[in-house]
Amino acid sequence: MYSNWLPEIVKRSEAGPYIKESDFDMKLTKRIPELIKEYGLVYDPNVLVPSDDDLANRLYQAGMDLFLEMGVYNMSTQRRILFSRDEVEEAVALVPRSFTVGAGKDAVVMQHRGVESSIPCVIHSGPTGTPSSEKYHPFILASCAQEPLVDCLGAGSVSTYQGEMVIPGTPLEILAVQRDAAVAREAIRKAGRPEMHINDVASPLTCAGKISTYNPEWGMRSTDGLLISQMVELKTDYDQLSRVARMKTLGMHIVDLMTPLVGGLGGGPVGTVIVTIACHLLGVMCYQASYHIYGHMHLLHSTDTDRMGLWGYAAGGQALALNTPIQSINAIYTQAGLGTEQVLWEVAAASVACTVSGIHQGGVGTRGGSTEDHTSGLENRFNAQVSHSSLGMTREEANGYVLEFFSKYEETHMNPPEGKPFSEIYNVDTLEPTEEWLEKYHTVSDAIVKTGLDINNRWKEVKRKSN
Amino acid sequence: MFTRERLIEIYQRSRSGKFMKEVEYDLMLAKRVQELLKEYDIKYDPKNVCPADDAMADRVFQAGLQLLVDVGAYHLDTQRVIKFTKEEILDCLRLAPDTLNLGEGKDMVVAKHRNIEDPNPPLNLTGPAGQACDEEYYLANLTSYAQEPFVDAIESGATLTFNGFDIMAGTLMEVMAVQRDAATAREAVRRVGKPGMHIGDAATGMTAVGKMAASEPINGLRPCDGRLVAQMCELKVDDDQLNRVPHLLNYGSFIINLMTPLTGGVGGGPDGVAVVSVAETLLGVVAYYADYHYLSITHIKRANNSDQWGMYVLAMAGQAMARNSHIVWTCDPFCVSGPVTDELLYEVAQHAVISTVCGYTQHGVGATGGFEPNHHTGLEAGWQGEVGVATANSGITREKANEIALKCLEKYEATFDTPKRGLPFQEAYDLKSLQPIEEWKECYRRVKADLAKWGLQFTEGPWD
Repeated sequence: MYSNWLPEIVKRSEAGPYIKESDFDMKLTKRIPELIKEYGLVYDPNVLVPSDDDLANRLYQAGMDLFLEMGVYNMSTQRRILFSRDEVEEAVALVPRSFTVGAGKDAVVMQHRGVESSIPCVIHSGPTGTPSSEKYHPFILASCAQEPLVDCLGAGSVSTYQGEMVIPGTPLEILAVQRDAAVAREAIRKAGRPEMHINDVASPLTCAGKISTYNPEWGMRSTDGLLISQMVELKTDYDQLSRVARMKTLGMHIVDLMTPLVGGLGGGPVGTVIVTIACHLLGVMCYQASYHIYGHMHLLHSTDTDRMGLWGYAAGGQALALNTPIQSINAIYTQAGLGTEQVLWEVAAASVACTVSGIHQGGVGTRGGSTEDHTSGLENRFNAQVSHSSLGMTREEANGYVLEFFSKYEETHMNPPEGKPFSEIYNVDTLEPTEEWLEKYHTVSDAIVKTGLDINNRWKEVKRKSN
Repeated sequence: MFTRERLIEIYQRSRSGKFMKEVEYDLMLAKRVQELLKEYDIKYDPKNVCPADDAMADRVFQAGLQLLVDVGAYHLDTQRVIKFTKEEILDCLRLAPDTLNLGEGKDMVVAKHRNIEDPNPPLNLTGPAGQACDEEYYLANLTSYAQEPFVDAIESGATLTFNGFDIMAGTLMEVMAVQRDAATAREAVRRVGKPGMHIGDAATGMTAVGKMAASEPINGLRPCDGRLVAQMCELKVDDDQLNRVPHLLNYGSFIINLMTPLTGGVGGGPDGVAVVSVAETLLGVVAYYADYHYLSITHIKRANNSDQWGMYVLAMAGQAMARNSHIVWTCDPFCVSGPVTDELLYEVAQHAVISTVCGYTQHGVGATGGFEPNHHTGLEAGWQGEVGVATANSGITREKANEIALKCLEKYEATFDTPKRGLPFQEAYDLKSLQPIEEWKECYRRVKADLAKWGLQFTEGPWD
């Protein structure tokens, strides 16, 4: 058992087997279909939330095998960092089942939830993978932080600084990220929740950018988190690993971001789930993450609310929930734009699939995160209501709801309504959603209530018990 | 006056300035320096290393200002030249601070701009000057500096390993090592009962990430501490250096402009390097928002500045800035000799005398020119502070400083080709009591007696 992993990871990064990146990719691509065959893993597009513990366990074992055989590719040294099964199993066993994020009265406890858990999801929010404009960024964050059902805020990203495009690795990146960290701190202060957990400032793309957000007075604090990313698939580099060293010393929460691509190196949904499980193990071994962002998405459409994406959440979430104490949050990437009914149906489907499969709720990235300012507080409120109302549900029941919600947008999924940006669906003076956006929210909420899931009231019971 | 935020403007100019290969820039700078020397009639006299010539000091300033206006700063990443107008430079210079409150609480010291032959004694902001130290001796070594009575601030030096592993810049090992070293410096000042003493840098950090990793108000470097932002020789910057500026501005920490102009390099001889030093100081004012400046003149072969060339650059650049600005700036003695030799203390002494009369605050010491790891101790650093105070208190003039410096030079000049590297810290000090060995104290007493004979009035020192 190692007591000090980081120097050992550098040692293995320098001394591990040399391999070209393309060869590593080929090796991974080749191994995955073998593992699928070996473990008898099958994807059924008609069962989006499987209720098969054995399938979940086999998926986990396949992910573990993949991780042990491939190791982690360090792009800085072009070498593989390899781990033994004992090392990985020990590290997974040491992952905490619960921890506190945020501080004071605004602190929340993130607990390992398990399958079909009655423990409420922690609700993260913020502009998930969606850029904000300099002008509306403070209002967007405030609209999220003020939502009573939201527990945590992500600061999101802004791509300009005083109108100049921010180029990573330049002083503009440092200036921009410091501004964005301060804007997030101010948003939660304004909402009367000054110590709410901020899970990341997404503007920076380099280590220097990330660590410059830390400042207990106006920026990120030890009770907050920052993302450390994996590159697809199973890749890291020294820029990412250096963040670990800094954040561990500051006592910050490390958030492991992975973005396995459905249709990419992992192949279809089964292969991508295997990769996703291996990615979680990477986050445990190399990043010592507090929690993970389960961020798989479709290679071409940047979404995870299609059949493959929803199955990926459910199957992979269950595999991790049944076999590890690891905690993940989702990142719901919809096709529809903000202010549309479809975006809410997409959120609802992913929310139910994740809640019964052990995953906490992350934020919502509308239009696959492609369009500036397509993000607000209301869809996060909606996500929380659906999630809390799904507690205690069986996976069979959840599958029924997910299929029903999916049927509401399947036809238009790849030809979605564009929606409107934040400034057109919120009053930026009062920070309230416009009547138009509220009407759509009520329409979908009422329709879901009619299906039997009382999202208008059930969350109240959950909050009453948990408060 | 800059009409928009200066950093954004610098960034824009670094992307849109004239493209030029690095070697072309060097040639342009070398040529322009020689022209300016003629134009401003600046001459070096090896017998007068600390000239008492106000008019020449002013001409050195004007030449340095003109050099920066004419050649600008070279951005190594974009290979473009960042130009500034004379008005922009002088506006920034006017806005630069003349008084700094370094450190906090009872251990805070006030650093002020010093004039030529200023009767106010200089502060001594010292440390191992970026030299390598084994991690095994690091805490003891820094404590040996912090405990010295004539030391007002320390800088955390550089270690080369973390848990025995080599530290590679840009890897997590650098981040871990910097965090450890910043915390070690904090522990050193705490141990000597000066917990709020200013810590000038965490020198293990070679990249922006490393430097920034030292920011941590409880165990690391606080806003009342500082960090170096360096220039590459000569007048060169890059994004990695510039990235530190917005972080330090927001953290509220002191920014220290580090310059290492090379005597015998692109700037040419001592007269040319004095002009380059002024230009680099002004660049630090404009591009780095420097609170104070750190001139580390370096001989291109020996890495020292204790020769006549180094003395002249120190004297003329210092006087030029002292007469034509109100900034706070420091300099360090880079020496060929090492601890437990008389030569090291003479090298340090001449530097302290000249710099004190030429308007500097003290910084140091680079023993053995940084060639030998661990060859640096608190004693020579405290000695530098003590000589600086004695120089100011004794009313030493530039003429007298010249005389003392040349006398010191006689004591060690012959060792330039065969330097006496002395003993490493762990042999020069008793590691339990953290006291210098008797032999090292005797060196101190011998050299101090000579300096007293030559006109310095000392008060009681720590190792008398």
